[in-house]
Amino acid sequence: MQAPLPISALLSLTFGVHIVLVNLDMAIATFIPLMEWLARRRNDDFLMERAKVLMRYYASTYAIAGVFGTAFTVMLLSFYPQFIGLAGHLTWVPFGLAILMIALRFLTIVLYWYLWDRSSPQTHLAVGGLMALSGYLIPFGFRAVFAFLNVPSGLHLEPKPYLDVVGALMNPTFLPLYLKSVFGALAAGSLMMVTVYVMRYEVSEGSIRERYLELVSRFADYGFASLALMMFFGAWYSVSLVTTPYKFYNIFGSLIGKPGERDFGWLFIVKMILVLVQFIVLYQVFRPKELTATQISWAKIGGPVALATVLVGEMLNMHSQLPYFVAQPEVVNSLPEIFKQALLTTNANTLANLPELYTITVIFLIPLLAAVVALFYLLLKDR
Amino acid sequence: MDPFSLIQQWFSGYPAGWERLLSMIGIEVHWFILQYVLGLSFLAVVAEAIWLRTGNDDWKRLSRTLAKAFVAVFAVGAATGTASEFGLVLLWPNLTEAAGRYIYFPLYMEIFAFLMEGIFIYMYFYAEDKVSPRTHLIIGILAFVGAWFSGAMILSVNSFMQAPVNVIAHYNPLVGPSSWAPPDVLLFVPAQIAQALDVNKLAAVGAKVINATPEQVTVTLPSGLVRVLMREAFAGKTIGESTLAAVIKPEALQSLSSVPLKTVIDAIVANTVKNAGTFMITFLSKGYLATYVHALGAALTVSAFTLLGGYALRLLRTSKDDKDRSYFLRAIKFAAVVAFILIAIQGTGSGHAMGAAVAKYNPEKFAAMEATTSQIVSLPGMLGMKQLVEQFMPLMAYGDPNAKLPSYDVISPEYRPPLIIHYLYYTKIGLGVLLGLIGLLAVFYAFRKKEWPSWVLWIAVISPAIAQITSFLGWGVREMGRKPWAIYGIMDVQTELTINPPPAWQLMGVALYLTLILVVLVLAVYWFLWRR
Repeated sequence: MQAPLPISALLSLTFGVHIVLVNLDMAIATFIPLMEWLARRRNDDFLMERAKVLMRYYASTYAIAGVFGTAFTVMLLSFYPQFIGLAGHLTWVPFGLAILMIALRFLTIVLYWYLWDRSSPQTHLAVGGLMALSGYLIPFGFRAVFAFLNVPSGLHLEPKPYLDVVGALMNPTFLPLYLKSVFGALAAGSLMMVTVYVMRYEVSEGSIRERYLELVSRFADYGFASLALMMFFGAWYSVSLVTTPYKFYNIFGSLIGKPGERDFGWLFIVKMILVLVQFIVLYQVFRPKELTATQISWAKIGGPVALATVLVGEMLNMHSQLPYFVAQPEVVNSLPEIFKQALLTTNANTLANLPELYTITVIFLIPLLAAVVALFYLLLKDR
Repeated sequence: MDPFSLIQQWFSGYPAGWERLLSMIGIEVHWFILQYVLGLSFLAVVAEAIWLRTGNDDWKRLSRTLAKAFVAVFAVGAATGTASEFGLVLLWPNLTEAAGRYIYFPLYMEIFAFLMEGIFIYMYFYAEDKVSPRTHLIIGILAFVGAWFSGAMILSVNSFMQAPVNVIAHYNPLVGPSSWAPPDVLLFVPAQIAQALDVNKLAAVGAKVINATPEQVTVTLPSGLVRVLMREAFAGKTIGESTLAAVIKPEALQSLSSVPLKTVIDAIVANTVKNAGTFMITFLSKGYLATYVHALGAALTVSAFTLLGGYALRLLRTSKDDKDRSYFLRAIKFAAVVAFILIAIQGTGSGHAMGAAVAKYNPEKFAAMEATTSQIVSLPGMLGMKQLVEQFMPLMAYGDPNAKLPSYDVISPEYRPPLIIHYLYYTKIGLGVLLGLIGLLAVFYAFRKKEWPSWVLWIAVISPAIAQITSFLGWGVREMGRKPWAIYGIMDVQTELTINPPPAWQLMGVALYLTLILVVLVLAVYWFLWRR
């Protein structure tokens, strides 16, 4: 009993691109106002320029993350309309919060970018602070929904299906999932900064080179702290998944001798290896005086590996509960038929699960993905 | 009816008043911004093309300014689009589910349009100094084509909701008001289901068999029955509990009684969609082309008048010896010409086509727009032009001076749209005419060799607001006039609504929040573009 492969692939692709970019964006949107604040406090032109360059990159790419998020939602709607319909009836508060924060985030990004040097430093930093804060509140809503898909806490079926919000927030998997995601994003962003500034360090000379080394060192510290916290909350999240045995055993079953219906233990091991590589990278660049060629090579893979960790983690979380949208088969099977059908990924929209649609998708998506690469290339060219 | 009663009829006369109000505000905030993405991107490319042809740097400067503006608003437009999308899911989940199941294709294609728009808009703005001028122009073309492509997809869904291809409106303008009847819905019933239905009982409820093949039976059902069946299906009733039970053969009912009604309705609607063409069904909606051209025209018109207003403000704030003045004069001349051409096309071309489509495919809405009722005094009546309009309108709407307009009072109450749309419609027409006059005045002064008088510039400054209000009223008439339907002839407002409606204070809180975001955005863009 599997979801159709093309649907699974398309949802994984769009969600994967979206989640990697939003993790990166969340971290960068925190670093930029922080760098601006430090630059103003220290009257540091170098740091201010780095913040501006980072913002220039960020201002031009964050919408791409949003576009892939929309693509994922619309694909979900096209392939699983009943699920989206059911979710709509129940999730006004968590999705509503996320929506309000998305609108605030986009507005603050525009304001922060366009009002740089056109408003007072205090106003600009306040907007930057709001920009960073909204980044943490968006996943608060979305992760509440993801936690609900682990354990449907707060769901009542009588007299009609509704969601008790307090009950939903009491979900045992919500807090560790949210905190793990936040620190995972900060770790990935920090590691990416390490990679970017090592590359600048490599081609710079003199005092500028030293400044880049300082940035590498500083972001390595942030990365280490965030990664350690992510490991802690990740372990908590793993333990919390015992409340949803189907998913727990699909992930950890083969590792503890009690295999689940589908084995994703291998993907968990891949993730742990990637985390280990990140720790090695951070160890290599921990408060260095100079960087050797070996250290530079390690640092260059830090960012991509960190983003791959995010991707693998999300895929693990997503696929380990399939074919159920709510990872508790006993709950799904006890529901009225109309709800049960909505919660199975095997029950894809027959009007959309068509080879012609997949052909159209390939024809449009491949050139557009190439155009995304071209956009990133043009943005980073000569910088 | 007094104004309060008119508002009350719209708000309380149909279900979910607060939810409709929030949707209206949310989508209008999105549309307010979106029009600039559709319009300014095109105008920026036109200006750049003129620069490439003439070499005059004023055009390049104008193109850059427009690019700055639409890039700034694109991001927030995308965010409000996401908010609207989630808003539809959360407030109208049954409608969303039906759209995802049966008419998903344009929404799906919009993914690619949105991606195209996003990539090339940013590339146009950020990569200017990294590609050749001609490549940059091509990127600009791809940017506005992406935005227009996106609009084409979304508007096809909206057109389907207004006038689905398989819904037949009943009104004969040559016979007159007595020919009105509720719309019928054409359905292709799979043979397996058709066999369980009692033909005589079906005929008694107004169904007509059009055709029968071994695979399917083509029937028309009265929209009143379809509306009830849709409501029962989404409420989770079984066949035994539903209205359908009354037309099922007794021997079949025994085995089908506990089957969810939604399963049967889904099989019929899915088969109907396949017959119309899964990928084509929304594009075949009646009036789609007119809708698209008129809506895109509105976006371009609003953008052009905003340009006119923006440069009028610049001229008012600069002295006569300002070094930038010749650039401002060139820009305002461009804006004036484009604005005038567009408003003329909107009024006489696409607007007319849109009105004729409404008259033909949504006679109930048309009756409300024209206020063919004794319940209210029409605006033309107040202005002493009632007779003139009554003589003129049949020719305009049906191309025949002997045609007769549908009577609002003859329409059964459960099929009547709110009468407030009459006033909105005629206000919109009036504002459209006013915009035409402003455009004409601007063109006159643009081509005169003398200075623009300040009173003309001030009129130009307020013209963007008039254009936005006109555009908003157009959508207001279209969407409010869709009531009592969510999808004309098929699904009503009650059926589309969430089973857990949020409290009114939360809905209004969200509406205020979105409005505030729009206000801040407008101020920020103004600050960014015009403050030095």
